[in-house]
Amino acid sequence: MTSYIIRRLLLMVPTLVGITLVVFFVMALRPGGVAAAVDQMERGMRPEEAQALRAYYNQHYGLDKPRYVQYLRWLNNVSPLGFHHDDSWTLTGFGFKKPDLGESFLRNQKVTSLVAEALPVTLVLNLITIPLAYCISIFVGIYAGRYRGKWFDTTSNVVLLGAWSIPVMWTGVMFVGFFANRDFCHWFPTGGVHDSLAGQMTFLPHLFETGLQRGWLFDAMWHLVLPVLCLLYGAFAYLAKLMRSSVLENLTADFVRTARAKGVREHVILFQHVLRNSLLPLITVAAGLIPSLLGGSLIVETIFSIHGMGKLMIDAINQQDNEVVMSVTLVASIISLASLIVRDVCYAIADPRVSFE
Amino acid sequence: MENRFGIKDLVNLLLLVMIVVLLGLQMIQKDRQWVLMQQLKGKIESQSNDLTNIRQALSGGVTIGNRAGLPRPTDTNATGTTRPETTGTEPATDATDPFARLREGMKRPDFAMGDWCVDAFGSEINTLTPLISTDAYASIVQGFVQESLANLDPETLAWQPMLAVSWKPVDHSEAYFAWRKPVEQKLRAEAEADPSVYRDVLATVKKSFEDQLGRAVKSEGEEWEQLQAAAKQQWIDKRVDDAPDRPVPFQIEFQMRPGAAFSDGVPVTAYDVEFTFNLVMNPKIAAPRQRSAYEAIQSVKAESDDRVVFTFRRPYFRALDLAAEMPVMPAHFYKPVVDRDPEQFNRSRGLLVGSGPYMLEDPKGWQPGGQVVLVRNQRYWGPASPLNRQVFRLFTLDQARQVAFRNGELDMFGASPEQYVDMLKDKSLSGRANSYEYMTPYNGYRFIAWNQLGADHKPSRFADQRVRQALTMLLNRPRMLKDIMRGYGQVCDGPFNPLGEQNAPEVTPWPYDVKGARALLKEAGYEDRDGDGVIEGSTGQPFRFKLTYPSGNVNYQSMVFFVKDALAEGGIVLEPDPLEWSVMVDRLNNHNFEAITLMWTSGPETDINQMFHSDQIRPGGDNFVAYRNSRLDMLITQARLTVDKDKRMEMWRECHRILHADQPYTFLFWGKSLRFVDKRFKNVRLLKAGLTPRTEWYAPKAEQHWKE
Amino acid sequence: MTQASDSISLPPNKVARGNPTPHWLVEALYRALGRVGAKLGAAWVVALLAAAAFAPLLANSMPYAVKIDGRWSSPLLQHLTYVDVTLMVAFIALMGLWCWRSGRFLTKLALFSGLVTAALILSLWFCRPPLTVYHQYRVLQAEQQLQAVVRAPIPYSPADKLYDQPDIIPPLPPSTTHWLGTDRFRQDIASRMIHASRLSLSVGFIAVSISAVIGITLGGLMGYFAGAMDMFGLRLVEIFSTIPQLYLMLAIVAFFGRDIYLIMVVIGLTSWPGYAYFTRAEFLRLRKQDFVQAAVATGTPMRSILFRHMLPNGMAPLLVNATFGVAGAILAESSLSFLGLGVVDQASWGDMLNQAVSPGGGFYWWLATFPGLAIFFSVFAFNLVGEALRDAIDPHTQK
Repeated sequence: MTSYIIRRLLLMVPTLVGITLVVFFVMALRPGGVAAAVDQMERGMRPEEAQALRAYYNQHYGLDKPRYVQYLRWLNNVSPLGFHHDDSWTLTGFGFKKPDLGESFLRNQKVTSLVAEALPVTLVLNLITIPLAYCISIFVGIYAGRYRGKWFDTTSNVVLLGAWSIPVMWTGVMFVGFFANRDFCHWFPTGGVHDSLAGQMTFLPHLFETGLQRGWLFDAMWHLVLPVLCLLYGAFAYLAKLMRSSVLENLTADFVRTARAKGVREHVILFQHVLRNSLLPLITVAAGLIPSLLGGSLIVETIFSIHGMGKLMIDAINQQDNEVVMSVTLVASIISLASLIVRDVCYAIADPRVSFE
Repeated sequence: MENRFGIKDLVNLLLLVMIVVLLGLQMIQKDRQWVLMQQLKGKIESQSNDLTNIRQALSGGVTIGNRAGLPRPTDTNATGTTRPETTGTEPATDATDPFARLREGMKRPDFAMGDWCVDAFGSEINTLTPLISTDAYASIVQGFVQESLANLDPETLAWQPMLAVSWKPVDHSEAYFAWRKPVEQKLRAEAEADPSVYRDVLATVKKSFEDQLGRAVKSEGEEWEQLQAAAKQQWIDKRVDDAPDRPVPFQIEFQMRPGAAFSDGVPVTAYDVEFTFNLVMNPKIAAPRQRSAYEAIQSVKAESDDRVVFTFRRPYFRALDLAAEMPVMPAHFYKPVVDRDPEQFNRSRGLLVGSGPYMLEDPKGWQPGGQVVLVRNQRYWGPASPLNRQVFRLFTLDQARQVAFRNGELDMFGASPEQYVDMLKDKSLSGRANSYEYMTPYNGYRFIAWNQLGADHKPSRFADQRVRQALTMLLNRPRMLKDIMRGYGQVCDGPFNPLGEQNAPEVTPWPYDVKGARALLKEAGYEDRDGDGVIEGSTGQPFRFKLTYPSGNVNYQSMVFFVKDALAEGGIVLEPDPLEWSVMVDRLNNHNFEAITLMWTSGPETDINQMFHSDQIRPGGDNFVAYRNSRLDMLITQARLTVDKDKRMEMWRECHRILHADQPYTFLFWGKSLRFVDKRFKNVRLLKAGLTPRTEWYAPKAEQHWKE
Repeated sequence: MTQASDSISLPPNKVARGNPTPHWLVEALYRALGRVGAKLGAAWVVALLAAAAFAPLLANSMPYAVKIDGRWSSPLLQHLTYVDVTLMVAFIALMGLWCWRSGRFLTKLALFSGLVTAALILSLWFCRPPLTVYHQYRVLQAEQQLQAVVRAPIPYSPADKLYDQPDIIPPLPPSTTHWLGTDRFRQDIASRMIHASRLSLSVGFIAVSISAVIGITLGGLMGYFAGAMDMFGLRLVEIFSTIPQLYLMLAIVAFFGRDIYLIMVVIGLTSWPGYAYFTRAEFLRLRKQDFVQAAVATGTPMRSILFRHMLPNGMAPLLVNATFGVAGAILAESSLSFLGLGVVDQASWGDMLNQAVSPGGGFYWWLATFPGLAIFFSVFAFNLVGEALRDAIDPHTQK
């Protein structure tokens, strides 16, 4: 198993390099290459600004250099491990350094700091969703498996497939439209993760002379209800289906038959024996959910104007902020790669029979 | 598989419960500290407000011993601030008092200091440093921090004194013109006889042409002729301006305000004004726009601490505007920076100090990234502005900005017509915010410009005046206004704001008349010759053209769709051509389009030289439709040299009539400004130039929203 | 949401026959429902295809027929473009050939392509639509110059902005004139919904074809050659399945611009790993089977083994994958349009959904409900068909 994990980690390296290649060449292969970004942004700028921009791109990529040199330079910049160099790209050493994702000229900020601000928001959103999805889907899955073929199972099957097919953007728009809108029910805030006055709030609900204040914690929860719901049902449908089939598989297993023969009560079998064994595949896919949730949260963040990675991406595209588009794609890919690795390792630990490929 | 609840489980459970309880207790403890801190902060704030009031009362000329000018020492534990007692010690409010409205507000019973006003920016500000900043948002911030010698009273649109108490124009333009005429003729003859005299000028002009175009200009053809003419004119102007015996045409003398000081406490003097002008003119400073704007000023000279004289190269109709509206920059602050290294100034992000009612907390350290916070200038020479802070937050997307306003994170919201109509319906919003819809002399107009020059440098279809008129007549502009601007605007018939004096009142917009338009087109040789519904010219070429517009803007898009349907009635095929802004600007500079729809802003007096003078038919010039009318050219040139307002206005009105007949553009409509402002702000009124300045707003104590 | 149908594989519905339960009735009902679900799904897909093919006949501002000065004419026919004609012919041919049970597959295919090509060439030659003035006949009718008129069921073209009706302030809620309301530009939603099915289906089918071709080729190569090729291919699969599909799509659209063909290619390029993985697994499995071994033993050339024996055997599961793929592609296109990065100036469900929340914060429910339902039904229908197909071919179900 250890050797499997080591091999898996080693195989991650070519994949990582491949991802950087894809991301970079998506930008560099368009007509005009990297320089197209400069030409595009330069218009409407003052000469000094344009010159600074040109100098920056030249320094970062080398505008007159062939594409592979541009790629290597960029790779060296974004990598936390690489060559130190001076302004004229004479290499001065090799070692760990701060990854440099470039600069957003439109916001005048380092992309690294933009991403550092946005990433936690997206992660929090997803990390709230996943446990919730698990709680419900385990419950539903067990019951569907237990009463296989009965009304609960049949309905839940169609409903789950339906839930899985509902587009996130639709639910998002409907939620915002019906539950956070003056024309219908204004039960929830329109967007954001905090009230404007959250900074002046106490952490817990607090009774002031002026009345009850809901406090920072409940304010945040109140804001997150709709976005989390949007992310929830897709993951839930998937997990519940998985749980159901896993429970079914275990119910027909030998150990269940033995237990039944020994006269163990049915609910003990279900919750003690079957549940434990059925949870295994479910837990191992947890990390694997992240890539599809990242895509979902992009749309959810746009609808609820939550300033996470997805919103950053959409804003950057609308403003043609190339470096940000590239970096956000890269970071999102790295996160999902990491989660896939975690999934595989979990799987290997959980099921020692797994063989390499 | 043991299923009994054992001792071990009990201990674990107890531990867990204990941790949770402890965590809860810790949070409650933190919250108590938080509440205490808030109270302390409130107290400190109220004390600092008291201090402001005292300082203000003192600066208002309190004689020692007269305790009426000081604020009453009210109960100190209340967080309420006292209303400054102004009676008796303040100068009587009169027409020239720039703070009349503010003082009036201060007398109201609900007046209170404190609270912030939070506004939004649509794009990141690169730098706040004056002169080198280019975006409109930076100039809004600078407007709070810097002051000029005088400004236009938003209520009357008359000049009101700010840093200057009075001024006196000295007009010698008649003597100047008498001298100039023969000199100019002589120089022209000289230039025509020997083109080599303006060779240097020609080289620079050629270079700037080529930079604009991004390609070389050939030494022949139409472009070359334009270039030569422009160079010749430049050379003559320069020789005239540089002539040693030239009489002084025009001067303005300003008397500085005593007692005014910059936010760091250093008094404002005439030398600061002189320094500012010299700074702009310093070629090492990256302020080419301002330099060319101030090109008409020959010199600015401080004669003493409190007297400064502006001397102009030639009579110029906007002379007073130029001099009075120049923001005064503190010499003691900027001079060391510029002297050490002008490049450092050019690269700086937030060097901003002025004498205005607000200031940056750190005048040197502002960095881009998110927001701008201005705090009240405690040393301001006028009455202190009621709001503690002016905050500007960044919202790059319209929808996010709108959500923020809805959630109360923003206090002001400039809406598009569609948003405005929609938001008016919102009960919760109308309970919280007031809506304002108004025309100001600064509002812009939309138009469709018809390029009279085709891609082959031959006159296009639009070179025919009848065609342009017919195109205008095909558009039902009142309906368009209703459709696209939701009726918030006014049909436009020329480039001059209908609120200003330049507008000729008897000019009425071309009527909507499809039959008339068809007849005109037929007269110009366009009719449907093959029965496919599209009209064709004499060569059989169908009347089909591309209308360019900036992409990504729903408003422009719906307008273009409308025009498409409207022109289809006349048998004309319009192909929408959405272009991304930067590409469009590029096309505009190269005059590479058939028709384009855009918007110009205006002012109390609009200079139409750049749009319609035939001199500006050059790459990068704003006469991108290649419109040429020699009588209009002459009128524009004359008007620009006329200082006498009445004579000048008559000339502008004549320009208006000519433009209306020629229709180089189809003028569409003026848009109204649509704005929501939070209801808690008082003293917000509509004036001629828009809402009362934010420096005069206040929020009653009970309704204040933002604290530290 | 990236519908990663490849990684999120829905577990098969196991109906164990050998285990009689007292609830046989319910079980039978479920099985029927499963079939009904698939049928409903298929019916929706066919309806969608019909709507796409006959869109100009269903929703058009031009009347079927008008009588002016005693003469009949058909403005609608005059305004048909060659695309409209070709699509209609293609749909009719498809349905006809589907019903014709006896013919061989290749004959049918040849007949179909022949008909479509002929229709394309002829319509290119004959269709010369004149300048469209959408309100032309409405105005004539209002002026009572039409003696008779036969209108389409939805008498509005998708781009008809009601130029002749100045008093309308868009968007209009559903009413008797506009069954599903109008959008911000006064365009009829019902008409746009019908015409948008063209975009969704064409993107769906073409994107899936692209990804299937890439995926099957790569997967086949991996599965057949194994070894280093397999290793390399697996890395490629891993790379493209790791980069979140929506992010990659957005990045490509941001850098290369918005264009319908590009969007098809992009969706195709970002969703092939599932096919590759599947084909590879199938090939690895088949390699070990007797008939392939036998073919190798008899000295059949590589190419022949690959295309004659292995590919047809691996087709069935791929068809399942492709069905889910169409659902994914439809969703991806709607997502792009919803984010405002879709095709410009074409009716699209996602774009209508995007307009539902107005810039002023109001909510136009009809702009959210109907297009949202259309996306949902289409995705659901393809998923239902896909699941039924999978169940049908799954050996576990038959045991």
